[in-house]
Amino acid sequence: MREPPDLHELVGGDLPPEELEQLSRADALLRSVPAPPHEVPPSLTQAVAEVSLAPRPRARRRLELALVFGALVAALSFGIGRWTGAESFDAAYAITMEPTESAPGAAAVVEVGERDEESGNVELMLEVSGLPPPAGDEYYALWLEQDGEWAATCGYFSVGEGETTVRMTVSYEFRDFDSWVISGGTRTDEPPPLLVAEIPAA
Amino acid sequence: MSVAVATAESDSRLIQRVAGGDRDAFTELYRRFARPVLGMAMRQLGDNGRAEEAAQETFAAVWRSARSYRPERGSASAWLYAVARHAIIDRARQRREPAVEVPEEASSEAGPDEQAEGAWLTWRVHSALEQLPERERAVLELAYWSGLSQAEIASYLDVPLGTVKTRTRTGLARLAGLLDEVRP
Repeated sequence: MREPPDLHELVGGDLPPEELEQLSRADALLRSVPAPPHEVPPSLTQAVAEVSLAPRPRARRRLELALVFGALVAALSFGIGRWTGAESFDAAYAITMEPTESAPGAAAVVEVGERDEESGNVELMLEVSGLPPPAGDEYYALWLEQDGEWAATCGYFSVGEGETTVRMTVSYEFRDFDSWVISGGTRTDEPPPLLVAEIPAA
Repeated sequence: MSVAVATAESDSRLIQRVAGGDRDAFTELYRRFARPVLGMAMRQLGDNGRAEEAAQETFAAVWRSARSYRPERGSASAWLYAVARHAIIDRARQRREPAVEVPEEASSEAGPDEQAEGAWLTWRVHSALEQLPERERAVLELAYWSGLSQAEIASYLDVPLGTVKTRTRTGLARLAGLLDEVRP
């Protein structure tokens, strides 16, 4: 394929120095990258359009929060004393985990709080759905993976029907790890990963 | 000649609207980023079908987790790039196959860091192209990647040669404005 002509031939005419510098920068950028895909297939557009018609976990969460708030107000109005479990959680960022082939209907978001400067602890809020309630002595676990090994557990948990929210506190430096993993199983076996999310390199 | 950068709603504002469940904002975000996401997925997965799946997963993740975006922590483009990168890597893992490390054309001998930088640069340029008016984008894509001469582009688009040059000039100026802080 022919190389594109030089900038002067592309735009024609004499250019003021300031504009030449500006256009040269854009010209160099375009020459430094490969071509974008020709077109977006209609099948993708159709599939993505359906995404925004699906129920959002956020909507369920809002409803739950509204119910919690309503219950809190009701409890206070009836003079019930100390109320626990409805503390606010201020997330610094969130990680959306993706399901593996072992749990295709599962979804999870890990919200990560700000690190406490004094203790070094970090609060996590895990919202998970689409996993079946574990049987017997089984349970789920949130891991941090390092070099292909599940190196550190953030906590073990069970789930109910619908969405389950679990709070955990850890002190790990997340940048030391490669990914987040949710597994099922027991403490003695080697279960498959159910949901994963890579930790971007720092 | 100066060309005002389009006053379209910022990517950041669009993501915030998506976080509130705004479908129109989601549609606009898709229009701007579908080609960059798909292009990145195609280069890394090496397969159109899987790339399309990864792109679909990217936008599903955007819809689900737009509320996690914090404008003060980085640009909207960087956030979306990270979401796409996750989706592509996860797609590769689900098939238990490594992602194909296709080097960018501009850095065929590059190491991992340079490849990552090349991918980011490509993403930024392709995303900016999507924000140009269609007639300017079409002329630039034909000029830089089709191998057609300017006269052939004029014939192909059925416009005078002078119009092709004018659109190229305004398109480049607008692109420079959109990529103000980016250097090749």
